Amino acid sequence: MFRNILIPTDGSTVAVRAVKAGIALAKEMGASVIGYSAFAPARAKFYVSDLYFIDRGISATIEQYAKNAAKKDVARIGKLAQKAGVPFKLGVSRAEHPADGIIQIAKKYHCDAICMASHGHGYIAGLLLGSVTQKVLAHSKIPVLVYR
Amino acid sequence: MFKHVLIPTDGSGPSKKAAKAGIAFAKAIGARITTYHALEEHQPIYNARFRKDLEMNKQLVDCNKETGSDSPRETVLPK
Repeated sequence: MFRNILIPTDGSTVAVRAVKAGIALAKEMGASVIGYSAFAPARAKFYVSDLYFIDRGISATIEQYAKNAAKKDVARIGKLAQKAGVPFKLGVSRAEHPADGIIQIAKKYHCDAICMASHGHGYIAGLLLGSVTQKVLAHSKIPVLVYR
Repeated sequence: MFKHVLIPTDGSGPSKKAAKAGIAFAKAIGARITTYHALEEHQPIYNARFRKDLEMNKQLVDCNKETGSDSPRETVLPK
């Protein structure tokens, strides 16, 4: 039924649990997975302080760090998918809000479903939907499986 | 992975679309489905609404036939 399942991650433990579930689902359906993680642009508010501001070079470095962290997170999806014998593609992108990146990548890779955790880093555990998941649910045109 | 999928419906177009997708999904992963339609409380079961509910359940079963699914199914009738 589904051929390409998008599995976004923020590297948190709950996200990794959803990643594992998504890979298991893909395996069962004979689908391939697209591992994705968004990184935030280093905005002025990160480097302008009261008395001085750090040059652009440093903001590029900050962004590079974020990109590397995102790459590390998706590499983990790649490893898990490889172990399960599920075909996979990996992607990271710069996004103002992770949900925007998720919706964009779903279009780019022609995904027909998104499998993600209900919340990622540091939300009131399990009680509410995370803000990213909420935004994806609101804007996605394809089915979203919220893993709990 | 998933063994039992709940497919609630209110008989509307989008809900029928979701039901079809749910049935196809259950078929793909070899799960069984339970269809459900909630009835408002304090409604005598012999009114027109009940007939509509029965109609809806029939619709779901037809939906199942249309998709050619052989997933085992079960229908929860309103109390």
